[in-house]
Amino acid sequence: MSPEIALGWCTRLAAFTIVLCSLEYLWGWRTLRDGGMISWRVGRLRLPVTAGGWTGNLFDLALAYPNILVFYTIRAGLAGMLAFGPAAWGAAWPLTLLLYLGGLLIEFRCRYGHDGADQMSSIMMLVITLAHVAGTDLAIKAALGFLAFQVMLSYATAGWAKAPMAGWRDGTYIAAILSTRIYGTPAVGKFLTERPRLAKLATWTVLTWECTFPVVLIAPPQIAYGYLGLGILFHVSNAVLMGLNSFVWAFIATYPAVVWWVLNRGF
Amino acid sequence: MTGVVIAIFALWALASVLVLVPRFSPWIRAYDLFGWVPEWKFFAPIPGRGDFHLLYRDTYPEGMSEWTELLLGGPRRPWNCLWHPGRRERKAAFDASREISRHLSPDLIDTIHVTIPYLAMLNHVSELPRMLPAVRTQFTLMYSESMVEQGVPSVSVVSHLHELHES
Repeated sequence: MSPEIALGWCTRLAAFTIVLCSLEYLWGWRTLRDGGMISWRVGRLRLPVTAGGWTGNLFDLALAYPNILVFYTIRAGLAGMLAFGPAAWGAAWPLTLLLYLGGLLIEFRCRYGHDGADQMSSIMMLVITLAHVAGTDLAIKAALGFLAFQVMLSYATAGWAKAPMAGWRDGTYIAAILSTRIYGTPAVGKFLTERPRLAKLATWTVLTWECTFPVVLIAPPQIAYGYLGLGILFHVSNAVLMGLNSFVWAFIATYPAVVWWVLNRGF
Repeated sequence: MTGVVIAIFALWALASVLVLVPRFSPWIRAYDLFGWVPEWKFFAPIPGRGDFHLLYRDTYPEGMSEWTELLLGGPRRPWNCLWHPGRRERKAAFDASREISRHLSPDLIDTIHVTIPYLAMLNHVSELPRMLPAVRTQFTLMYSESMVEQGVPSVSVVSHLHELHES
């Protein structure tokens, strides 16, 4: 796999995440209204530059309701061009830069309601922009190496931050999270609460996978692909049980960079 | 240009590692105005193990209504693994609840009613459609532990009574 093809797949998948999230925002338009939980009327008060004056009026053009619906429609359209259009469009850095800047504006509009999938997509758009601005094979390889490093760091950090906590090691926390309304499936949470050994086994499986994920960078290809397969299973499970659907696409968008690394690391 | 881009990636990667070190984290966060340096935790080290509940009640010339809980984001559906628009509203309420919880210490409690999360909840509750014109409204934020089946949710915040103006 050439670096251009690998970065092209990263771009398509990250752009698809943005399409999905933008369409979800549009579908849930009520929450973007002035009286919604993701309201510009309140969100703008956080910064003097957005709260009022001519700068506030300027931000209103994109972020006030109902203008924000046009903003998300354009964002979905631009991301759709990258996700489903010709490969050459993925290398058009003004497009990826616009999507990155759009993500920043969404963060400015209201700090509530965002998650790690949004952050990963945003980082990817900036990395892809920088690679294509430089426009050299070396810059594209550096971008792929950086994305592979970020995904490795994300899983390893999460695993090693959990490992010292007794509540993770004994399976209590996983059953507790899955029992919540916001991130859980209460029936599954109850099932695991009543079966602490199963909860412990599930936690240790995830912990082991997360903590040892960095081996994908040096392990034989079969083992590395096994780790990536478990990664897909992990995110799909989180989507089904916890409702974290956009994480599937946002994180799997980095996997072509890992595959490229495994195929080209020279050992 | 390639050298500059590679240097940016190298510094960015270094910052992503150093932010995990408590000594460097505040310094990096102070300069990371655009959220470039991620800190991937995935519910680590101690996850939230409960739910916040936002309730409101109104006063009318005839008296006061009962507390009503808002089910923000609606119930979870089987297809939410693919398509989950309600997630944003639910997460927004969760984020606001967590932020307001940080203002519950004795030295901050007096100014809680001018914080962004308080205003976000008040704004939302005030704008809810009503069958009858209410005079004033009040909200409360409660917290329940997920694994305590018979437990009573604890009250985190009770707002003042706020005037409602017809728009």
